[in-house]
Amino acid sequence: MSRNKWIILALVLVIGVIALSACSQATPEVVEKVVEKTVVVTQVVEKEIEKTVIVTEVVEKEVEVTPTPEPASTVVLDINLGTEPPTLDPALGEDTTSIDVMRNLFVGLTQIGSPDPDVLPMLATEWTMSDDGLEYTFKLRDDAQWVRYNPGTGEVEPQRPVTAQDVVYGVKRTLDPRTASGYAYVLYIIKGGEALNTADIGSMSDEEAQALLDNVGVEALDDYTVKFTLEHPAGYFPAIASMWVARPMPPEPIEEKGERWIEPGLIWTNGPYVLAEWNHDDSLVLKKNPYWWGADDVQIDEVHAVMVVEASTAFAMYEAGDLDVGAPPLEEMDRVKTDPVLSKELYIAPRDCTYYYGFTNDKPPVDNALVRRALSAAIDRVGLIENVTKGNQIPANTFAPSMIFGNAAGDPDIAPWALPEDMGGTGYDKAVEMAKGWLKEAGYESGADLGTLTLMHNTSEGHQKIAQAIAAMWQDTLGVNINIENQEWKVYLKTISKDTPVEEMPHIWRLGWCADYPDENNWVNEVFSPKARNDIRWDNQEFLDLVEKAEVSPDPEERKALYKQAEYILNDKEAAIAPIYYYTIVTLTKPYVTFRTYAEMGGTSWFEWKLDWEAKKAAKGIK
Amino acid sequence: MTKYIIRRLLWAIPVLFMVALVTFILIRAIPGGPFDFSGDKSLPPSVVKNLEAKYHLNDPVWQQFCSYLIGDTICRPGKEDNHSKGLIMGDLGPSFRYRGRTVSDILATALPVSMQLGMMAMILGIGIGIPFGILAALKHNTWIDYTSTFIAILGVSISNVVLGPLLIWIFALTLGWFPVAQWKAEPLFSGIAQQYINAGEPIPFWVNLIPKPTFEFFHHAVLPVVVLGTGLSASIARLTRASLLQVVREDYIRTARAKGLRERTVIVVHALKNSLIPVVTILGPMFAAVLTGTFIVEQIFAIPGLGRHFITSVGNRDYPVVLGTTLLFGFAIVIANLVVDIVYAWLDPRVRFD
Repeated sequence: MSRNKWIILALVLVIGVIALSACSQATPEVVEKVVEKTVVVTQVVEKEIEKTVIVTEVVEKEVEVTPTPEPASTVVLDINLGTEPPTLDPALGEDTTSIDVMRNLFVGLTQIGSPDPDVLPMLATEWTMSDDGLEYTFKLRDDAQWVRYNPGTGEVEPQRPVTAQDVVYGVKRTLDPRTASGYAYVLYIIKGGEALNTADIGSMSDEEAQALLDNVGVEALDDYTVKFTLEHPAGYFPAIASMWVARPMPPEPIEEKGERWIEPGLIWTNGPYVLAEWNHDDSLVLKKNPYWWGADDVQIDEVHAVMVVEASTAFAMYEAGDLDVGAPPLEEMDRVKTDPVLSKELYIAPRDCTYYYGFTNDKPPVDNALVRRALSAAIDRVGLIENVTKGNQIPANTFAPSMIFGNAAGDPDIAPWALPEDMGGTGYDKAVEMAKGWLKEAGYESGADLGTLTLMHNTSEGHQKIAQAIAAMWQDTLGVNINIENQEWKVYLKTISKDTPVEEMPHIWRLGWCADYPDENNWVNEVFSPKARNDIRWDNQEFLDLVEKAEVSPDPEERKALYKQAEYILNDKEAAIAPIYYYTIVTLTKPYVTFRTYAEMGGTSWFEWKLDWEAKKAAKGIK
Repeated sequence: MTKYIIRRLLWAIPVLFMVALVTFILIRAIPGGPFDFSGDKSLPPSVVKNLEAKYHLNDPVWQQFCSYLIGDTICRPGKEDNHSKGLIMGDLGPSFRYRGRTVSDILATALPVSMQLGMMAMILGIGIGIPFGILAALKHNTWIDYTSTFIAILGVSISNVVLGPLLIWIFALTLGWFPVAQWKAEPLFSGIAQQYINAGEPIPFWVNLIPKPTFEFFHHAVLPVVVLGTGLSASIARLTRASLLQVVREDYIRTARAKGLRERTVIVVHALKNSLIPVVTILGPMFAAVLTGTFIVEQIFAIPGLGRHFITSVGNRDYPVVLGTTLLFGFAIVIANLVVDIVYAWLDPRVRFD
């Protein structure tokens, strides 16, 4: 008898567990009912073992009876951020993750459209430029609200209207050196901005510091009009006005809580969503802001964003249906492209980033433009993309990609040897012949005469594969001997900086660049001007004149022409760098996501996405 | 005994001081600073200067170390922007990478998660490892011994990097029994936690530490605990087996058998206790290492533990986080070794503390 009892008890337990797990989605009431039944069961089965069978049926019946809870009307989007956002403070944002989240929390004066990177109205309904191009006046909408999410009640609470003073406060806060904003420099274009940001404010009196703050060229003419005065004319300023560092910020929580004001419950936002939860390193939850003026068009009620770093895990979560959008790891690309389901969910969109190899322009033998051009031409960009990077990247012949104002991407006037024939270029075979000719012209019979060139990249499997492939191309076509080295990221960046003696510099090294705002100024001028960072160590006066003239020119057509000329010098005539490819964003999207955007500048706007909730529930088996 | 423990704890202070000093110097010796670059971009020198000024990185290094230990008030007298209260006051400083979060905030949220995972994995590891080790030793050179030794070697050799994704593929993707990843620990004292959330304050360590034993919690915990626990159990089993094999050949065991004791008494009372000394010796540091975070398992299962901070803080040059995690690990090792020494005295009556 005692043994029977044990068996029965074990059976009941197993059944109980099954019943519990089967209805883990059900309401608490139902769970209680099942427990009740289990108690009855034990009483019954104590008498006879044969009864257990009947009892099991009863429990199963109960599970079937379980009423499905009312379908939740909350439309939820599940995404992966890939990492913890380092900040959600618009003044401090530097990285794409923070910028993505901030775009949905805070709106700026303008926004960059997608897929065409036009400057569109956002908080500002219209703006005007003065005749000299130095003053921009923005009219703000008067129905924008600051809101705070109350974690105790779960309600969004309106605070007060967003005014022009908040814009002024935000800009000055970013520029204040005490805020220590990494991206403050993009606002140096505003009059007095650089003077404030570079001042040694710690050793100043309060009056002097205040004078610097007052001197910044941003001013609220009334509650809904803000005027910017610039250092020099800049046709791209409306694009700068869309950036997170120029967004309105609420003084109240910032003054009260300091840098912790970005936590849920404390943060005030003015965008389509509010920050409801932020479980650091794990997940965050955005909820729709009913007080946002465009709330009627926001279809997704909640965004559940996890922070899964490991790409293969995130991909597995996508496959398991835990995520609505995903990104396949490189090693899964071949499977994804051939899989009947996944291949339909795969979409590759261009991205505003460029992968390039820089030459140390003052280090022999790559101090010779012909040698640099030969090396650049001998890179089989199409082969590299097909066999190594596999993300349908676009062969690059210029520095700036196609969505940047003033770009000349794919223009066969510049470095046609970098482009395949179907893009108007020469194709790789001809390019190799040209490269051999340039080497001879430079006085080298073969690539071996160049000696051993050092190619350096930061430690990463992806960069290593690319470096090995390109080194093999140079070896096979020109006979150049390449020594590949790699270093940890920050050590690497130190190595290739201007402070390193030229003897210790690698001949060739990799870097990438992504747009802050969609204008060539952010590319050729801010990266390669001999006055800027200038990792390539050149001193090309012609280039400098072109980019400086283009920066201040008020005429868009003239600027385009100047930038094209600058790109020509950079990539073709001097071949100071070898652009390799324009990045793409490789994404997987579940079919029930009916509308989405791809890698737009200034952050992903989840608030524009649409989702077929019934289809998602069916796919996930949510009852 | 109390005196002994106090003496050992006092010794921890110079040990931790040396750990702090060496770490402080080494991390600053690596080329590249925390603010030189953002992603692929270099930041202009002017904004880097502002950032370094904010975090006092332009002070002399000795002064920075002084501030880190005993606070700005003593080490930077008369300056306006003082913020560090010093390690002695429990202030581990701000994170450079996660603006607005302090190292203490990070430890308070990440360490409990690692401890929950590590504790369950250790229980599993010991629960499997010691019995299997004993079994293998007692059935020495039989198929039981060979099988369990084989499994143990397999467990030691198969890295978590392989086992984790493999189990995800089998049990999460193919069979669908368990979720792929993530950790779903709700604090047991959810009412207290909610108060902190409502006030926008970080939830303290002790509130986060004890999870509510929900189905969701265990459902998510199974795979990572199994991956971590089996790896640990393999080393424990091998060591238990080897140690017990040595002990059962000792003379006093033969004596025990000769005087007619039951086999169970011989093993449990005489052999096992003694054979556990080497096992306990490795269990101490193992506990310390596993409870403070395991990078690979946390990475694969997207668990927001402390393991990742040990690794990523170095890459980010997030000096205070590097120091905080290293000091914590040093402290855990000190405590673990102390506990090991106390357990020695219980296992081996010859050990005396004074």
